[in-house]
Amino acid sequence: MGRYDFEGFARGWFVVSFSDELECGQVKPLTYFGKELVLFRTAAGQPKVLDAHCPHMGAHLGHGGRVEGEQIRCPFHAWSFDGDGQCVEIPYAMKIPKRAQVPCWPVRERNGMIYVWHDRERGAPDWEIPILNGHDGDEWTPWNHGQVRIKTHPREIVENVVDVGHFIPVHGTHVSEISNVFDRHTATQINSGIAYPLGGGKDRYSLRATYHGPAYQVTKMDGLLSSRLINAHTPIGPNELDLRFAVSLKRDGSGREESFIDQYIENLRGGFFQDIEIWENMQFRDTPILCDGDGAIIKLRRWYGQFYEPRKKAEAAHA
Amino acid sequence: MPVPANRPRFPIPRYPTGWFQVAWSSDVEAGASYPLEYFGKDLVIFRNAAGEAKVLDAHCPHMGAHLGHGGKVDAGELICPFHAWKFNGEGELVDIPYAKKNPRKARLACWPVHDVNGAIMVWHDIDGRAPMWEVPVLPEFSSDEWSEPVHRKWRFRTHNQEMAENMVDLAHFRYLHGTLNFPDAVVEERGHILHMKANTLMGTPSGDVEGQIEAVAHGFGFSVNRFTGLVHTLLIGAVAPVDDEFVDVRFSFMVKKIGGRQITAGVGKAFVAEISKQLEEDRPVWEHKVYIDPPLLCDGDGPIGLFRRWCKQFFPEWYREQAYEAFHGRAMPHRRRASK
Repeated sequence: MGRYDFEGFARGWFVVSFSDELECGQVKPLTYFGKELVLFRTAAGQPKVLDAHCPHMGAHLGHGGRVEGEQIRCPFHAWSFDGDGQCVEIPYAMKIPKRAQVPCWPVRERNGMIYVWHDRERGAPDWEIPILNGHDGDEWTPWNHGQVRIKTHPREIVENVVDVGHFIPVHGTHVSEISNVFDRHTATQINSGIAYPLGGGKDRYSLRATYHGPAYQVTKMDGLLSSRLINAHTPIGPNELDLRFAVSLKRDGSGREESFIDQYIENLRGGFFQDIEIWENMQFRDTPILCDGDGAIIKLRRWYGQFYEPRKKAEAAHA
Repeated sequence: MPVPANRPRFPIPRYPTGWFQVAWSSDVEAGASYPLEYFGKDLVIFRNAAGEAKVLDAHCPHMGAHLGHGGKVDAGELICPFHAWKFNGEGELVDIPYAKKNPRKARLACWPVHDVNGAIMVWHDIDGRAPMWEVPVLPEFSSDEWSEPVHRKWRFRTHNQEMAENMVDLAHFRYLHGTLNFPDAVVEERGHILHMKANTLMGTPSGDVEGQIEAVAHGFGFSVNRFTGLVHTLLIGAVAPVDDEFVDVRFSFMVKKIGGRQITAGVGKAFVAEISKQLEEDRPVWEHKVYIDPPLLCDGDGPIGLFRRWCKQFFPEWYREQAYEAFHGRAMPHRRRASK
């Protein structure tokens, strides 16, 4: 296999915000996929993402734009756009120009996160982000989440999937079993062994870490406690991204998960910051020098490449 | 503001032809030199023996020291802090204290300056052409009937042309600034001058005042805005391009004296506060907007098209083509002139 095309940005779902970071009526400017965007939540609670600039005179809807009901109003001349980006009102004009609309991005909100679909070919989503059972109830603690901005290419984040130890917030692990399954848009690592937690003792664990598309990974781990980890990145420009991470623990009635979680997220954050130093300084090798244990990297790269290929080509290759 | 690497923010050139304010006259004292940064260049300003403001390129041709950082002024001549080479107001080398012979090539570029209306104006033209018009001397500055000018300065991340466009963008006054009516404006272009006249209401703390507003832009760098009605005010707007990102905005406010000194001062204060408030409302729009060409206009918009045609004269053709190409990554198409 040859080099895959890393021009542009991958196709798939990307987290642009945690749900609790966006209130009804709130407007935020975003810079992702090399574009200026605006994120807002309507009065009815719907998150919406549009291209940022008003087609009239170019003002940024995310700097001074206001939500009114289900619409967003431009700060400059008060043109009003609905959640699909269609201009629905110009307060001083008799007629709305036909072309008065802003490109609209597919958005989903579930699992306490807001996802945006990016596709250079502007195709509709052909798969969905799975719902995490029980997340909205009392069974799991709310996400404890964080975010860092990193100067690196998304592929460097993804290649960590084969070294999932990065995402296990324990000091030492003894891995007894590891396997990788690549299936269409998902890549799953199954891993079990013995962990040695900070508090001491031994913890037999098993985990499944699944990338759903190129940028959103859910890790489900069972051990002393059951936990869910989120690792999601969204590209800003060609060599910069936002990395979001989150932890939720399953409540077992003892209440101890509340005291664990702060330490848990701190360990996770610490792990990421160690990686960041490497990511920001490393060079990408198309043909890395690998040892015999590294076979998964080649498979991973082949799988990851599909998100950069035209959809037709990717479907043919990965069917 | 990450955009694709090295792409400029605007598809139009950055540094227009015209007169631009680089300082307040009162801020430039005799016997001292000051650094300036305008037109993407380092400049130095000082006064010659006759007290005239002089603006030169900042860097000594000898070893490159900045004459505005530590340069001394002696009898109206500027001495480089590094090796004491001495230049006159025209930028000519007049003395090297340790050399027998002055190199002929040693001189600093000298910029056309007009010290007028309390402002130091510098002429800029990308092709180095001499001034094509003059900055008018305003009678209010030598009249006892008008208050002393109040000065304000801002720095915005925008473009001269974008700020100038506000004058003809009538809809934004109502929706961004909340003015009560929609000025019913007549806009005319006369060479480098754009003239706008409108009947309007001006909001004051004691209610809204009917009157007439007249705005005259002399290129992108200098505009005169007069409001006449129950009160008379004068606002000079001066916008100068600093570098590829920022412009400096300087406003001079004056009011015609009415009643006692206190009433005049009260009117002046309200006037400054209202205009400053409007600028702060414009700031987020200017700093984050893009330039859409052509804009998608609707029936109620002002004469934006007329304005944009007027703008072209301030950039030579080659300069506009260069800016277009840097932005779009392809050559500027030659548009056919629309037939009327």
